[in-house]
Amino acid sequence: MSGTNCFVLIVNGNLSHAEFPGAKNLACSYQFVYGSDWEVVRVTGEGANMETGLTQLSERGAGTRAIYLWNFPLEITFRSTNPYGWPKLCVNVCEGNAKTTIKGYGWCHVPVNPGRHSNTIRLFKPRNSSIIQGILSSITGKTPEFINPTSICEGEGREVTRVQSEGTVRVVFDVMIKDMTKFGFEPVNTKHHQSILHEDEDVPDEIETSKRLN
Amino acid sequence: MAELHIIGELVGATNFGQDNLFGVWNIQKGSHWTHVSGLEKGQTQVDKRGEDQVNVWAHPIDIHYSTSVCVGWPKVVLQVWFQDGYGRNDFGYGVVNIPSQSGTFDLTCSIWKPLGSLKDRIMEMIIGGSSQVKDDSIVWNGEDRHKLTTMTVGTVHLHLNVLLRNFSKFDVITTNQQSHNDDDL
Repeated sequence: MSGTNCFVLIVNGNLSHAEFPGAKNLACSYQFVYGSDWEVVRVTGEGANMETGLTQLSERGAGTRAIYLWNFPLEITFRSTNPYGWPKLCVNVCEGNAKTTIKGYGWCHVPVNPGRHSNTIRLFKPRNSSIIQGILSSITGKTPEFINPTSICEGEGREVTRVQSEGTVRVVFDVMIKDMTKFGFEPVNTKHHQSILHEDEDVPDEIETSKRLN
Repeated sequence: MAELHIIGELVGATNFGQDNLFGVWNIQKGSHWTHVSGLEKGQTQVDKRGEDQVNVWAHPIDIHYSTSVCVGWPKVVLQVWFQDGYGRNDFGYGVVNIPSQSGTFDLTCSIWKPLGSLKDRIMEMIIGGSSQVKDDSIVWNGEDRHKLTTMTVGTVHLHLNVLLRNFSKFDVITTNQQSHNDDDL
């Protein structure tokens, strides 16, 4: 791919912090997952284009709603001819220094709109498949894990997984996009639309649903 | 040919009050739309809620369509399966239009379930389970809806990025050219 016939996605980001109930310390490893039409632009001698990485181990700060702060910089540039396979940031959060246990998996798309975006990734981890395994894992301290951590970024094969959600990771992205209008793509309306389709219908639904639950 | 990219995620579900919950989704589109790449249907994971009472699905959507007509704009058809405390299956349905404008959208889709006759409802209360829609097309097709009685059961959240290519070449206007005041309505 030469520079003229592809568009470029420039991402500066920050893997900021995690909020998690009841963990001693947390580290996060991340990986960018992208389609076959995409490639990472490497400029020799300029910055670190880290497709994968591992943050430091962060202990919880003081206070009631304290966070596990990483403040880890992300810096990567992609180029592609086709938006299909748009890059995703796949994170998995582990606890512990010598013996690590998985605390959660999560992912989010790199924003498609240029500008500053702050994303909250909700984490989940696989549940024990049986009660016996649950007892065993509470004794041995081994929790179930995914064999392939990036399988959570794929749409196939999800239907067999039973998970439990807990905790969030906060990521901030600063995104620039080059040459996309040259490719015939319409300029993206930078205003973020929040549920404009069903906004009005939502309120009575929630009231009725809560009634039903009670 | 104009092209449409849908990049996003099925974020999850709220208001169901259930732990064993998953969604089955597929895209319904007109016959003149050509599917180029990406999965058009799927089934999400089964999630137990955390502190924030959200069933997290985090199911990726990345689809590429090309089309020569604007009729039959794709929609996401959702079916939610859930179990109550006694392990009885329930079903909910919903449909949400994919926005026909470039941008990022946080969409919510309210989910309904069909109610049967009085006898069915009493049976449902005692035995459990719920009525199902025999023909799924009633979910995304407006015909014959008037025969149904339904009840709302919860909400599904989608986060979609829509990218349009070459629509302006065919003189299709997709964004509001005037001021955006009507957004406040």
